[in-house]
Amino acid sequence: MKDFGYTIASAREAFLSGTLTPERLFEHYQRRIAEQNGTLNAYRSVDFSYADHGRDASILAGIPYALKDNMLVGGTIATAGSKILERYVSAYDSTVYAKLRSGGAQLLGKTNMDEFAMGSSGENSAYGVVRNPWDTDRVPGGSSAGSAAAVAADLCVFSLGSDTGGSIRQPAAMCGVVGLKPTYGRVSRHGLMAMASSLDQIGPFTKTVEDAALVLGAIAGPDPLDSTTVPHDVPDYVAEMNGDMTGVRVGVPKEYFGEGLSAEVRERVEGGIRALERAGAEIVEVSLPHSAYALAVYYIVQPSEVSANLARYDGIRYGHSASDADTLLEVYTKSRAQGFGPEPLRRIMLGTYALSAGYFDAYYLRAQKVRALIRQDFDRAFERVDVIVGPTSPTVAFKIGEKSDDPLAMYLSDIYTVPVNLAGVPALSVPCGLGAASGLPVGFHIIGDMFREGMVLRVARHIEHAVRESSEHTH
Amino acid sequence: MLTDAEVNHIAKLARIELTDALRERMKKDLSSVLEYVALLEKADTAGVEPLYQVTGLQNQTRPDERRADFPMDAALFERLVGQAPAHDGRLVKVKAVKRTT
Repeated sequence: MKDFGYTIASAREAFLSGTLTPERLFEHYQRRIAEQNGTLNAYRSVDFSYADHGRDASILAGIPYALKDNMLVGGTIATAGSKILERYVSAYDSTVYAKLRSGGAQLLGKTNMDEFAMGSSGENSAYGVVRNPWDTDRVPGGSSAGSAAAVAADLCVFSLGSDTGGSIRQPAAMCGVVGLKPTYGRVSRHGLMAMASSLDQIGPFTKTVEDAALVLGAIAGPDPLDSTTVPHDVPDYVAEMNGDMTGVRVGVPKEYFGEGLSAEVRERVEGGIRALERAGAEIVEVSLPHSAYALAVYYIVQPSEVSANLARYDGIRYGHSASDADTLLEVYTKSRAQGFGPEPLRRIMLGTYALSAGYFDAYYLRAQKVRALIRQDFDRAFERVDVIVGPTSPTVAFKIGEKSDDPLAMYLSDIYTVPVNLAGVPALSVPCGLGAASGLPVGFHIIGDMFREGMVLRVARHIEHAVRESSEHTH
Repeated sequence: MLTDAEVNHIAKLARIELTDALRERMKKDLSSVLEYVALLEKADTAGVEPLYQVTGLQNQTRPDERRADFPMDAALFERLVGQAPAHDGRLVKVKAVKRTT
C-alpha cells in the first residue's frame, strides 16, 4: 500500500517529542502542494497563512487540514466549484471550520470539487478536472474530489468533504483513503452551501480509521445555527472504535453483490467479510429489497431539493450577475444560464419538472414514499445486525472522460452509497486492498444504524488491521 | 422524449435562458433520466407515508430575540449586502420588473 505520510497520531507524537513543530509541518505541506497541485488540481486555493495556536490540549492542535470549497471561511472566497461564485466572499464561518479552528487545527486550503457537489468523478468543476494520485489518467471520484485526492497524495493530514449521495465515500474508495458520512443531523451544516438539504452531511477524509474517529469527535454535536442537528451528546468515538469483533453481527445484503459489480471489487470485499468472520464477527445474510429503487428515488428527491436550494443564485444578492440584462427577469435567466455548468443546469431542470404542477404526485411524492420503504428495509435489517457491509462503489477509479457523456452511467457509480443518504444512517468507506486486475484501491462500505458511528468505526478498524497484515505477508 | 415545448416550460419555471444547443442537450439528458426513474411505478406504495426527513425533529424554534451566537453587526451587514452587484446603502438594487417602452 501507499505511504500516506503524517496521520494525526504521528504528527502529534512528533510535536510532543520536539522533532517537529506545527509551523514546520504547515510549511512541509505547503511545499508538497506547490510541487504536486499542478498535476492533481486537488486544491482550488491555498491562500491561508499559519496561525500560532499555542500548545493547547486539543488533539488537533497544529494539524494541517483542507476544507471542501463549499464550506465557508469568513472573508475568503468559496466557489463550490462553480463559475457563478468565482468572486463570492464568505460572509461568515461555517460551524465545522469554527470548531476546527477553536481546536487549533491549521487550515491549508480549499479543495476543488464537482460544481455544487454534483458529480461522481471530479470532472465537473469550473476550475478543471481533479486527478487521482494513484493514476493521473483516472478520476479521483466525486464530488469531494480534491478532498480525497489531497489526503491520498499526502497534501494534508486530513480533510473535510460533504456527502449527499456518496460524495465522501465514493472518492475515498477510489483514492484508497478512509471516508465517513455521519448520521444525518450529527454534524452541523451551518455554512455548508446547501445542495439537497434532507441528504447533505459533512464528514472527514483521513488516512486511518482512528483519525476519522478523532475528526468526527471534533466536528460533531448539536448547533443552534442548524436546527436539523440532533440534541445528542458526542460519545468518545476512539473508545467505541477500540472494541473487538466478538459477537458483532455483520449483515451482508445479497442486493449489493448483483449485476454491475466488478469481479476485482467483489473479490476484495468478500475477503474483507471473511476477515471480519475470522475476528469473531457473526456473518448474517440480510435483505434490502427496495435497494433497486434507491437511485431512481435519489434522482427525484435530490434534484427537487437542488432546484429549490439553487434558486438563490439569481444574480441579485451575490455571485455572477449578467451585464447584458435589461429587465429583472433577464437578470435571473441570463445570470443562471451564464453562471451554471451543465450538471447543475440538468439537475435544476429535472427537479423543477418533478415539482411542477401536474407531475408532483407522480414523481416527488411517489419518490418520498419509496424512500420510506428504503428506510424500513434498513430498520428491519438493523433489528438483526449491528452493521451492513458491501462494496462502496461497483468499480475502481475509472478513466477521465469515460463516463462524462452519459449522466446515467455516471450516476450508477453511487448505487451502493445513495440508499444510505436516503435513510439518513451513517456509513464509512475503508480501503480493503487493491483490485487484482487494476492494482487500484477498493473501498469496503460499512453502514450503521442511526448514531452508531462508533460501531461502524470499530468494524472499519478491523478491516484496516486485516489489510495491513495481509500486505505485510505478501511483501 | 420530452418535447421542445415541455423543455421551454421547465426552463421558464427554473429561470434559465436556453440556447438551441442547451435545449437539445437537456431534452436528451432529462428524457434519459425520466425514463430510468419510471421504474418507481413498479414499487407498491399503497398505504405508505412519504419520508420527507429522517431525524423526526419537528418545529425546532428559537427564542425571538437578538442572538448572541450570530450577531448581525455593521461589518456582517456590509459583507452580505455589499456583495450585491448593485446596492444603495442598506438596500439591494434591482432592475425594473417590466420593460420600459
